[in-house]
Amino acid sequence: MEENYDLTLIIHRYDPDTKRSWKQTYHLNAGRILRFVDLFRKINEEEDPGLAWNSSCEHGQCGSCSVKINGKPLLACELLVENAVEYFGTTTFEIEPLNVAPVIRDLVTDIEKAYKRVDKVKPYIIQSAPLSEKGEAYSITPDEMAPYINATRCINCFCCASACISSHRGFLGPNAMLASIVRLMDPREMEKIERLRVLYSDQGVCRCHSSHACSFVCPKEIDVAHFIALAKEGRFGSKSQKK
Amino acid sequence: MSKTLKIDSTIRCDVLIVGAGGAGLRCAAEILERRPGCRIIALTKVPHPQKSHTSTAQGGLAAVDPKDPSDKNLFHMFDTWKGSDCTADQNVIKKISEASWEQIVWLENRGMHFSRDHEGRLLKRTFGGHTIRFGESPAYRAVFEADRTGKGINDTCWGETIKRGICFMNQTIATELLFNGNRCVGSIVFKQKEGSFVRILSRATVFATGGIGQVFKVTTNCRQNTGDGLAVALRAGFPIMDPEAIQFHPTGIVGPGILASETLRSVGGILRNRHMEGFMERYAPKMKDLAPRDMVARAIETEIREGRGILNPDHRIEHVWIDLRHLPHSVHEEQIPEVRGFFQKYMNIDPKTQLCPVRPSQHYHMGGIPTNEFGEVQTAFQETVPGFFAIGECASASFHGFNRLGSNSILELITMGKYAGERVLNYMEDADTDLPDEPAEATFSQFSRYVENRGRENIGKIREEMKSLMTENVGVFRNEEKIVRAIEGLADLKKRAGNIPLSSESLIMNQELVERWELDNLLDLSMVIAHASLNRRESRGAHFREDFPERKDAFNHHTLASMTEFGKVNLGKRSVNQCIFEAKEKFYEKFGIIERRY
Amino acid sequence: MAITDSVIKRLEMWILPRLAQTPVVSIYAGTRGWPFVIAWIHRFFGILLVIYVLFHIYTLSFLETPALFDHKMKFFRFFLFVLLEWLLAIPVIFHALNGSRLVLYESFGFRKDGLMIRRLLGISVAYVFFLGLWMLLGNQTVTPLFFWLTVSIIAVIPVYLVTGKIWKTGMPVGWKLQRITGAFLLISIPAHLLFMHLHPSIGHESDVVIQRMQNTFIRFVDMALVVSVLYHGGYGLLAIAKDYLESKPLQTACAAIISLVMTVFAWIGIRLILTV
Ligand SMILES: Cc1cc2nc3c(=O)[nH]c(=O)nc-3n(C[C@H](O)[C@H](O)[C@H](O)COP(=O)(O)OP(=O)(O)OC[C@H]3O[C@@H](n4cnc5c(N)ncnc54)[C@H](O)[C@@H]3O)c2cc1C
Ligand code: HEM
Ligand code: HEM
Ligand code: SF4
Ligand code: F3S
Ligand code: FES
Repeated sequence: MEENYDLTLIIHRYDPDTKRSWKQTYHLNAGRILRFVDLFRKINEEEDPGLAWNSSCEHGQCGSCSVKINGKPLLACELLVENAVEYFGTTTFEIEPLNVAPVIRDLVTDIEKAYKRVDKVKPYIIQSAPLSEKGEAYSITPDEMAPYINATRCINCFCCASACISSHRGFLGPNAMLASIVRLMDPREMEKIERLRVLYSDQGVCRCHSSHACSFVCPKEIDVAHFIALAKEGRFGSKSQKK
Repeated sequence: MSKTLKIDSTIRCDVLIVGAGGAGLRCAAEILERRPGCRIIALTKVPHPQKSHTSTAQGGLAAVDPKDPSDKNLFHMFDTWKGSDCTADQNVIKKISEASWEQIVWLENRGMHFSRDHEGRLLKRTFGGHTIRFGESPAYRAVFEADRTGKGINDTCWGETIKRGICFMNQTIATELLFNGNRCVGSIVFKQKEGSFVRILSRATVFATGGIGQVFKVTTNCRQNTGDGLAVALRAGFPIMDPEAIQFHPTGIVGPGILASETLRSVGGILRNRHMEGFMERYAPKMKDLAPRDMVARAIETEIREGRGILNPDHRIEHVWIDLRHLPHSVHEEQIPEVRGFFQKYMNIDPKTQLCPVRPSQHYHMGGIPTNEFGEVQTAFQETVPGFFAIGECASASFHGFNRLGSNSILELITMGKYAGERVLNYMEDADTDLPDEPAEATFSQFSRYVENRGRENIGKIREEMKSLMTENVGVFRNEEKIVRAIEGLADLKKRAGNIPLSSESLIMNQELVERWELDNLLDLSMVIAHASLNRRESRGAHFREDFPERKDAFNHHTLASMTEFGKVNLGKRSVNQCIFEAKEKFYEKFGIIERRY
Repeated sequence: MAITDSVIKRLEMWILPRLAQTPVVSIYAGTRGWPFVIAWIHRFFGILLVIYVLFHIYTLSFLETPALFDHKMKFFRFFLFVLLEWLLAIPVIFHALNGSRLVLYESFGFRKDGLMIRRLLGISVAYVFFLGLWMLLGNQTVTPLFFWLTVSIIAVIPVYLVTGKIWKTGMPVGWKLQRITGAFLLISIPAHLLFMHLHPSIGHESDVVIQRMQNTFIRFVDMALVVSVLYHGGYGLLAIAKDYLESKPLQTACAAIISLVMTVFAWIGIRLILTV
């Protein structure tokens, strides 16, 4: 096992003031278990304090640090140097921002714009089912939750949307559809018609080509394609159905 | 300098919420639920509210189920009081504990995916320090959503706010509070994406900016937890209450600082130093590795300090090992799969065959902007400030005193969020907003200084030096000599920070510029923490002074530390509320000044 | 199936690493997964087939002047063209089987995707091989009516199953129709190809073709074929276009152009069927 690696990072940069984009190459020597966010920090400290990148929790829980490395959308805070070298079989890494929304600067994408698609599916309970008793929790058994619980783990990192063959122009995208599907499967949600209308709209599931890239790249290992297929199969009823 | 800084626009709203983590979002949801159409602007520093730090809380939140035959609110209050080392405020404890279950139901009804038992009811687990009948046996009191409880809370509250129409300004930082007379009327904010300064005038302003983890070298907190809210309040002349009350988790994973939970030790993990000695035997001959958190943290810290730690070459962090190799396969697979996963993912280590590096990590800040039990901010003279509220980790009401119990923090977020929301609405009944005369002078002089500074220093390097300084000298172990060293070091770093050139004068998404501002916040806060630690010549809860290892009754009060000029810290006091004790009801004696022994 | 599966697995172990080293594929297989690569191949072959069909209908239109048709068809007697005709089986069978894999996954809840991909590759190889064998032998005869009657009956089965499964879902009608036409094409296109290669003259000599097309049933089959293929291909192209065009007006314009082209070709095709 090597202790240190000589890495070459080719980072796609963009300067919003001059609207200039270019690729910048950084050479750095890094320990085997540093993560890519540590490398960015290292670049800031040692070479180029101006390089902009995003992160927050830095342990795979918030989905702020997604970038494309050698074409693969992933969380930079989860990728160790050693694993990257092994996975990609190289010590040269080309790093790009996610292409799900306009880039603001360097590796920072305007994720807020991408989130518009999630907002569209209303990621909350629109109309709650009646409760047996006010001030009580609903009764839902683990068996009832099992079919959708995995889908609730999504952190909206947009890796899936970025990998999807169906691009993201006007398409809701895998994670937004997933958010809607969670509520369709949630027994507490009554308003199914409105959800289905969005899901089955021109921007919804019919735009998915089952390319499964979403499931492949999802850092939370959610089988997104499975949930989308459930919608295609008509598991949640149809939009014209009466309540 | 080429650019002159100016205010791009003025926005008016009813409520300005600075920080959209669990606390800020819960507060916004409460306001919108009670008054639909209320104009709320909520700021986040992160790209989106969902990325706030609350999303990473794992364990659970404490709440006493009224249907639980064995558990009672009183027991929860006692545990919290005892845990706080008799420094929490009992009016706050009572208020939060009594509202707890209602808040759980609120979350559940609005779609949080709590883990359930086989009858479909909320599942509960036990947490350190939570007991029934005053320490008799462990209480099953924490409801949770698998290992992502914080995410559930954050997502649910976020959903409620967008459902009812809120305006988020993401990647926007509040840099300066605005006042009209003594009334808080909003804030100057810097929109990072646009690179513009905006004046937001609001009838009420709520701070919910979260923790301060980045003060220390290893922390479980996120990158954005640089204590901005506290620093902004400090600069506006407000005190910070109990800044020295900082909780360290004994076993954070080296590098990302993720928690390696207590379970590792309870299933039989052994802490070892570089000589492979199971050193806990020396510190706690009976309990060994199962000794309480603070004791373990101190033991590890001592080992490292006395040269028996190991230096991780990649992260350049000293640590000890936790040895899990001897545990049976089934324990690895069934009892500690998540933590095992963390070691595998972030360290490429298989705990089945390899030693795992851990060290104490900063975890939680009990101190913060002082408030009363409604989240209304108080001055150094304990007068409430009209229109200014603070909730969540950045505030100190104080529910946790000098030591927070696991699962009490996110409970505090949602209950205080709700109470503050109610209070904000009451307050707004008779508040109107006038435009204050002052321009954003403080902000502009600060930011133009950053752009104009010249020299050869680097933000990252100074920040790392500061973190090391604080970790070594004002961390788990404190003593006079070390704290004084830290104070001197901080002054020096502050000076050197004046020699940091920025590589770009651009205001748009200039990460360097914001990091420069954060560095100032961190330095200011470190200074206050150091001074408060120096002044508290006793040990209490998470604050441990080697030179004064016992708790002292003379210090049965909160610290109020103000600093309007760097290095000049004024220290005041706030007494601890003991209303439960004073009410003299049944079991009141449990709420006196008691010993914290487990 | 167990034996074929193990054979295929071995083949796969040999092929995949090699495939994964080819330039473009390697990027996508490693970063998006094999199903993604397959989706691209499906798309590529789909477009190829659309182009082929349009060209095909164009050449068939010469049937109205048989001499010209025969003259043009002479090209297809060159070795190179025979080879190309054979190779056409690859996109046809791959797209057909992969399309049905997608339908099974999406609408029938069939989640063993890895297995399905393996089988689809296996069957494809077998199909292409046997088709080639057929072409080499080149002297089978079977009555067109019998052949097409059988094929039509078989083709009705997937159409029936797919329609029953998807009709009640909320998916857009256009989408449903593409799946249904796909189900029909699944049997009829590979069969069409097979039939055309039972004997060289069946597919390439104007008098044989014209004579066959006098039969009403055959005409009916051809009509079903041309309508389904053009609808299916047209919808497919539009689906691809929408992935790249963001603005609604552009999408509408694109839909209009595709509909126009497909209608023109459908008209050419149908007129031919009815007039020859
Ligand atoms: C790993 C981990 C596990 C934990 N587990 C538990 C647990 O199991 N149980 C428990 O009770 N507690 C737990 N905690 C503690 C708990 O998560 C935190 O105390 C709590 O989430 C803080 O919430 P908050 O809303 O106050 O702040 P945060 O969630 O940190 O939100 C702060 C918000 O303020 C914004 N902000 C900050 N500065 C500014 C500024 N200057 N201008 C504008 N916006 C700003 C940020 O962008 C963010 O939106 C855990 C903590 C950690 C680190
Ligand atoms: C032979 C049986 C066929 C079957 C079972 C079939 C099935 C399918 C299916 C299920 C899809 C949808 C894939 C997606 O969601 O993207 C599809 C797409 C498509 N098909 Fe077919 N098809 C067949 C034949 C044809 C033929 C003959 C043509 C050419 C005219 C064609 C052209 C297309 C095109 C262009 C697409 C769009 C591809 C894409 O969106 O990426 N198909 N087919
Ligand atoms: C190289 C192999 C092929 C040969 C020799 C061939 C030959 C023919 C012939 C002779 C006809 C006339 C009608 C008939 O005899 O029934 C025909 C019709 C048709 N073929 Fe093919 N074909 C081939 C491949 C294909 C493929 C791959 C497709 C689909 C992708 C296809 C689609 C059609 C359609 C839609 C018609 C009906 C067109 C019309 O009548 O207007 N053919 N083909
Ligand atoms: S589904 Fe997975 S990849 Fe997609 S946003 Fe959610 S967590 Fe990220
Ligand atoms: S990657 Fe895209 S095409 Fe469908 S299966 Fe996933 S959404
Ligand atoms: S920074 Fe939170 S997921 Fe990477």
